[in-house]
Amino acid sequence: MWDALISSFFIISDPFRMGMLMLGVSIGIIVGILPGLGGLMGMALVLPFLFGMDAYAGVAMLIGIAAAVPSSDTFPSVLMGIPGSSGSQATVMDGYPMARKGQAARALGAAFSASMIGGVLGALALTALVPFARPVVLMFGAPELLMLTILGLSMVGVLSGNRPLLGIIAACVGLTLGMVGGAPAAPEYRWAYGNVYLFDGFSLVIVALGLFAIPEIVDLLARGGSIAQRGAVLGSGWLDGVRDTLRHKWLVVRHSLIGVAVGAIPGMGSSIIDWLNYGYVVTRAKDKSQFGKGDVRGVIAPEAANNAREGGVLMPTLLFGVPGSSSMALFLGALLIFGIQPGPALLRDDLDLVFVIIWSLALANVFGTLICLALSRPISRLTFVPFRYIAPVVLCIVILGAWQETRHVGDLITLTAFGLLGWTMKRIVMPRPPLLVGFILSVLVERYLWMSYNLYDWDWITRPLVLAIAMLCVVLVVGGTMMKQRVQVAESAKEVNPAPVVAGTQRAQVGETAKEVDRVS
Amino acid sequence: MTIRFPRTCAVIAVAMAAGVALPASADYYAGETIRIVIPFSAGGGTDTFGRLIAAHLGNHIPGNPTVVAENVTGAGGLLGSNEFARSERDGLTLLTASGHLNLRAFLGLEGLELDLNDLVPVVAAPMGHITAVHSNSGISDATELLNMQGRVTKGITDPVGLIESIVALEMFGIDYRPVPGYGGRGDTRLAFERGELMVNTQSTPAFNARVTPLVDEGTAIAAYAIGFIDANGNPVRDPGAPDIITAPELYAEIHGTMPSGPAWEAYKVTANLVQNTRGTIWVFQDAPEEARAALRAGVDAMVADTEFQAAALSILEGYEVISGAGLDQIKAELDAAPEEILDWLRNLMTEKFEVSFNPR
Amino acid sequence: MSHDAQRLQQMMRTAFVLVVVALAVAVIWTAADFRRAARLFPVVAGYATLAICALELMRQFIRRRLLAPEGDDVSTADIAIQAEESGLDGLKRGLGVFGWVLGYMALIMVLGMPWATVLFVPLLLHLRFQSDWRATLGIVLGLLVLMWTLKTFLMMRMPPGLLNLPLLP
Repeated sequence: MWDALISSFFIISDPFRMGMLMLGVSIGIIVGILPGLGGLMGMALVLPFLFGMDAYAGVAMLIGIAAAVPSSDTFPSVLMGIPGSSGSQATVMDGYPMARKGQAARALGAAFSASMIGGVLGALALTALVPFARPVVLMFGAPELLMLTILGLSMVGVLSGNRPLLGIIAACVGLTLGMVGGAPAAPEYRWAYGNVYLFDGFSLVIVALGLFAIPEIVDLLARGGSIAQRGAVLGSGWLDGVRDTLRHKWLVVRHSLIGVAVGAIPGMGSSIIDWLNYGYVVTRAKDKSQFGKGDVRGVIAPEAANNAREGGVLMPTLLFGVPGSSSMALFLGALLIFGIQPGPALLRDDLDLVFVIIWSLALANVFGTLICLALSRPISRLTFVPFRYIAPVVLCIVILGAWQETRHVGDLITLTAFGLLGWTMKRIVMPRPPLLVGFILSVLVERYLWMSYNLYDWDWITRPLVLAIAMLCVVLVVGGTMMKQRVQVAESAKEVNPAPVVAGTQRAQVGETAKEVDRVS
Repeated sequence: MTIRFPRTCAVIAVAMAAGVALPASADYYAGETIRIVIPFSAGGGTDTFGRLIAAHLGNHIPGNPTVVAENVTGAGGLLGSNEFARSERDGLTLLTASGHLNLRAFLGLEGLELDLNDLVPVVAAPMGHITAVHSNSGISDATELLNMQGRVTKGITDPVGLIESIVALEMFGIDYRPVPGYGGRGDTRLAFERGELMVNTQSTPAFNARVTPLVDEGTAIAAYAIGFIDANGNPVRDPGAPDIITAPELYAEIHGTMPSGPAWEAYKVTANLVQNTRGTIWVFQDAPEEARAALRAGVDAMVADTEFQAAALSILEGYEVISGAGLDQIKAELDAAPEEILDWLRNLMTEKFEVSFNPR
Repeated sequence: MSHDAQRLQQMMRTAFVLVVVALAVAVIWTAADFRRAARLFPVVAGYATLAICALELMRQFIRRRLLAPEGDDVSTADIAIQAEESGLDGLKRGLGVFGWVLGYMALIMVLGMPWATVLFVPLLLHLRFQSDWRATLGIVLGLLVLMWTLKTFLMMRMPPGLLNLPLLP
């Protein structure tokens, strides 16, 4: 194994392959920055050029794309409140408020440094676990996957702040919207009424863009000025963010490992990972008051997880030939072009290739985040440009991104409709994240429930792992609510006697005060 | 690979092909762009085949047109194939379909506007399928197939997409429990490996790479290959797995006689239709004569090109491209499929899986 | 947040919940025609939605009428709107801009992406905002170059629109 580790490093350090890796990273950064496009688009783009290419170079390029996207998609999430790809929705929640306070560079610095560490940890975990992962992945049958989706749904409470009922209503709407189109357990196209566009249901990319991008564009335009609020300053930049990440190093490690673990379980869908991590970091935090208003932990946790995820999703992809995510499905197809059939035999017969993939993953994460870090300061200046000049460009890119989903006029209508829904919800303070979580998990819950029933009737409820995950759900929900009450008590005490606050919140308060002064004057 | 069929047939077919290919006009495609619609997302087996053809075909068609492949995804291939069905019939738009999409079109699945009777194949690639049984079902040899114990679970993705394996189970008369909801054959294989599903059918290359280790381990039994059917209705071994017995042969071994009845007739129709057209490029039958002739000449030249053969080697996964006479045979088999057997298949799908078809 | 703004928000929230109730009823109603395995989930989710909505409406009534007619502050983990946006004026301003976005979508559907952009951007920047012509021209040209780049190098497609006008270079 060590031989392969070293020999594969020499394979990948060949200048042409390195060049291809860098090309992949560059493509990944570009498609990641463009809202609505993600790794799938980037990989599809280079697919025609893989015919006849050296297999190692091709693999390096594809992994470069996959690894760079979850780093660079942070830019639109933080700077404009627009999810850059389906994997960085949760980053919006705290990264964007930070940008509005003028801390865009800091948020990006924190996000990218967390991404780098997460990505490298993901590659390490892949190296360490690939020989042992098979029995673990096989432990997760349909009932266990059902419980994991329920665990995801139980995050709804945490994401709903002080009004769990509103959050649950939003989640119910999401569940219902997720049921449109083909049903998992019967050949029925629900509410499609013969409209072929609706057979697949709504696309997650368009739903996320509609819910978050359109309302933000509309509100920023209506408000006038720039993205950063009046009186905000750019701040001392990305180094602060790197320091934030180092200060929260255990947070980074914890969420990277969660990212790997959830990514490694095929059938969960990787777009839920960042919400799971965001929900979890909110649950575990002692002081929750700044989440949604610019808490740097809300940036670090999902960003560490979404880069580490790629290490996780590669496990089922390489071990079983079962794609762990939609871009991995394309990666599997590309391996086919090179005549490689992933499966248990791959680890035995072609260990070099496995390690080339791992090296590419680690190197691409490092290069990708370094490039993003270098770009973060100039790009975050965009938040100070009057938004009316940015809006047409962003709107145009968002619409183009949505259009690439199926190139059907339904894409535009769906984007507009969800835009209106998102904008309304934002206006009346109905939380949108639970809607998205419900939407993502809707089909999964239904699918795994029917599967579990058809496989085991109701006997599956007593399976040990099912019970364990059920316990975890209860602990998280109960723990989340109890801690919330404790914090509320602590907060009311704090108002009487202000306790010393950590650097992050202090800065946040300075930003708030500046805003107050500005409003008064 | 093409199906072996009697020499006389071949001679006739070649003569027919030559007759069709006579008005070879060099200029129909000069300066034009041929668009190959791929109704599936990038990276799948059908997509890869479509892209392989797109990369090479243009160099061989008289007039050297540009060939571009375009993924028009959505609704399990429906959006893309409907777009093709509505396109101009000028030979500038082609469709890459999978065997199962072809079968859906052939049976007239609800929402699908494609009619295979309007199309002729330009080039095709075959792919076999092999069924495995999990050892948890209590059998240790394929001949004990009818003695499986407990709940015989079979993972269902889209029932029509698994039709060849379902018809095989019907032919054996196995009482199985369908478990719907799986995303693809990969997911069912994983569930099979976990021991949740008892019978599982995979494409031959996927079987060789990922199920064979389980067979060696003792957790799975290679039960039967779907195999191909020759022009006389006799089973032919799958060239991707010539050592594995075909389902009709296994039936004969268990029962002492070859299978018969509607299930067997349906088996003969589905096995060839699905497996010979795993990747098919279609053009409209009423496209201009010279366009179809130019396409055919282009494919013949492409298949003979060593560069294409080298590129195709890994993508076709051990099978050979079907061109020339083999395509005529596919078309002939489509035309010859008895309507009552198609009705039997539609009935099976409707009664067992509640699938609806376009009103006829 | 002013008292009026808060009242407005509360009313709109109640209206939203009522819309969700209607949606749930429609879901249960229409799901009756579905095949069994496709029907169970919508029906269960529909009844669950109804129950939760009933709870929320009850809570709103008790809280607003009986407990605290003044303070009903909601804070969630979502991006909050600002105080100045919450009133009727803010709502109208936002709706106005949303109208522009709708107009752009309609233009795209009719004219196709490039022509719609050429038309929309100057209109927005000059009718809605005071922009100077150099900036407008720069943005329009920049967008056309961007679209051309995306089309050529990323193989992206543009919405062609109903009229299917010839694309700009």
